[in-house]
Amino acid sequence: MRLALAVLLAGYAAAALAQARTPSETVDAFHAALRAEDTAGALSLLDRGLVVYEFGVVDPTVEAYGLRHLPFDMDVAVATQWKLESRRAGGEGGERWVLSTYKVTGKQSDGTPIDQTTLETVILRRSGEQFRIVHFHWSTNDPAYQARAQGARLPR
Amino acid sequence: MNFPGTIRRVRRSLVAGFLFFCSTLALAGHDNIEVDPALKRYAGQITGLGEPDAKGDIYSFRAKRIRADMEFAADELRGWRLTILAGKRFANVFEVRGNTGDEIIVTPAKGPLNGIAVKDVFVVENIPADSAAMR
Repeated sequence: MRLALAVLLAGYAAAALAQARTPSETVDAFHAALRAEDTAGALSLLDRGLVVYEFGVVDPTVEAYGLRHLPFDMDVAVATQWKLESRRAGGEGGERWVLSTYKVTGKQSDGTPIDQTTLETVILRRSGEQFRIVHFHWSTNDPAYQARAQGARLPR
Repeated sequence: MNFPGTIRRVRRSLVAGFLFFCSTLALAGHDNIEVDPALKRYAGQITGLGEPDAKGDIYSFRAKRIRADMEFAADELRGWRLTILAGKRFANVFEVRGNTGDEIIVTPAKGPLNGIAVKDVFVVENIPADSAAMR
């Protein structure tokens, strides 16, 4: 009887550990969910107070991000390869941050090769046993895109 | 009451809103990269709740597409994955059993839709029920 109870508890603990992720693991799980076309899985890692800054555009709510940009991010994740190049993590208690750079390669729909670095800042907040993402900020070193995105704001 | 002035102001607001919407579409996402969609999907908004069954459970709702003038084609969404993007059922997944132009019915496989509300938004994606990504 005791043995059965111990096995049961061990099973529960293992399951709980599998669920509990470090901040870095949470970020990786989000990208994995995008690649797997797992919309709900990606959403489940986001805090309901999420705000996203993405290439000069703001998604002020998690609903706005889920509705307008998550699908496109999923498309990109499926069509490209993201190689983690650097990562730093910090913070304490219930507030953490993870800074990552990725080498993104692949081909655009017109066949143009993709070869760029994407910079990612993620802020996470503890929610029970889990960390959930409260903020993303993405940018890129792609000079052509930066010129397009910022051209209208720069003096000519 | 200055009706022409009011109309102009409303028109300007609508145009500004539309342009803002277009600008966010053009620059958002990781969309410095342009790739083909990984799967066919539609976004929608709940406009009314279906009638509860004898147990009080809801398995259908009325809906409209977002950013599209057309309604859904009849049973076009059968077998698709439906994910709620807002409200109490945020991030919950259902499987579409069938649909009309403005009504979506889900299978009982993922439970009832209880808790959804008018104005909640959702996405339906053409991923079969047996897909590995299906939760």
